[in-house]
Amino acid sequence: MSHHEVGPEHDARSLDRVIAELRAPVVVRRDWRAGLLRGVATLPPPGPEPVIVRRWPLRPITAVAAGLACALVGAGATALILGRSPRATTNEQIANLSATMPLPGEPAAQSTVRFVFVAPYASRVALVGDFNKWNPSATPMRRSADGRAWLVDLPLAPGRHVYSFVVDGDLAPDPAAPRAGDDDFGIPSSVVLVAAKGPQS
Amino acid sequence: MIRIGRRLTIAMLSLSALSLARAQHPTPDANDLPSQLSLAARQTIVHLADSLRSVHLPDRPLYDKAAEGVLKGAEDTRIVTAVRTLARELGEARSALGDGAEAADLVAAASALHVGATPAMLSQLRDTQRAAGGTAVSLATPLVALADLLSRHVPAPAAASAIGALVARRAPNDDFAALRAGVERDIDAGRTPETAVTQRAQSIIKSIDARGRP
Repeated sequence: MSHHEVGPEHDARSLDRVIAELRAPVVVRRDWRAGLLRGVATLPPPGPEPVIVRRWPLRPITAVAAGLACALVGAGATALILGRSPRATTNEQIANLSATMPLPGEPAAQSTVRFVFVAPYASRVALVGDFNKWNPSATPMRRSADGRAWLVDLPLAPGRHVYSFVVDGDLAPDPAAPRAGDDDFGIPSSVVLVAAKGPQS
Repeated sequence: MIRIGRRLTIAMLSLSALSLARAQHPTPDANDLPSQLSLAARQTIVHLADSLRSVHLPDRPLYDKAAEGVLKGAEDTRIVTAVRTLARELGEARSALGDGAEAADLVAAASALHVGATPAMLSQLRDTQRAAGGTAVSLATPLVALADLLSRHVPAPAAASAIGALVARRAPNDDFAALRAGVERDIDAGRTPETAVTQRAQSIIKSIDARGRP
């Protein structure tokens, strides 16, 4: 292992050296300075500033009306997409293949699924899957209050989702969930089903 | 001027509606593929996805498979092979389940095919479900359970038979979960996969039949 000089004295000496270099006079060659001044002297004198006339392409009231209309449409769309009350489901239920259910009278929509992974000694756990393009920085998990487990709540669209946990940089399947089966890359993944319809009965 | 304002308003409303439609049903494209993939691999995957979409098969699973491969450190050739295989299995899944099969069922069926189920087994499950009067519900749960059993080296005929017996009784999702979890425990305890699935299925069937009695 190599050692480098560290400590406050070393820092102070380095700082003094940098300051001295910055304060040193800049040497400018005389012929270069004279040439620059000659070039400036031959430039034409500046003319009057051009006047830029800004005009509204349409009446302000029309633009405001269009903006309000778009805001209303956007608000409606947002309410349509996000206004549905999610319901939490733990992945203990996932382990039982109890797919989540839309609320009564609610059309097929995203349901919030709770993912839990027990790893008391891990320092960082994230969730990856087809819902976040397998991006390990997209869905970090938070440590539970007792410090034993990691969890995250995620809204998922109805369907079959393949996922895995990233535990301190290593992939780990969910031990409580079904295997994906199609682990083409040598590392198994897990499956969660989010139902759009009622359960079999 | 008023005409311009109206046109502008109509154009912005149209754009908003288009954005809403795209937000609800986004179509994946090359931008959805990880940048680590080579250009050739990306082009191949996009071409495969376009082919699936043109025959109304779900193409999103191909993009997901590619992203999974990149995260798991697979080489491009392996990723493209996996994506190509998945595309073929999705087609086989629809042939087995029929044109009306939902996307989740198709993807689950493709996964089951991948680990050893045959198209005939899938068709048999669909027919069993129809005969049991459960056409209104998804086959995804039985298919996911089937894929899980097969991935634990349960012989395909035994696994399909067990799942089919539950489908025929219109078993709730919890019973498929119980079968899967029980087989896993039994295998861990040293039983052979075939014995485990047979005994667990018989136990659950007895329970279902008992529940059905008045």
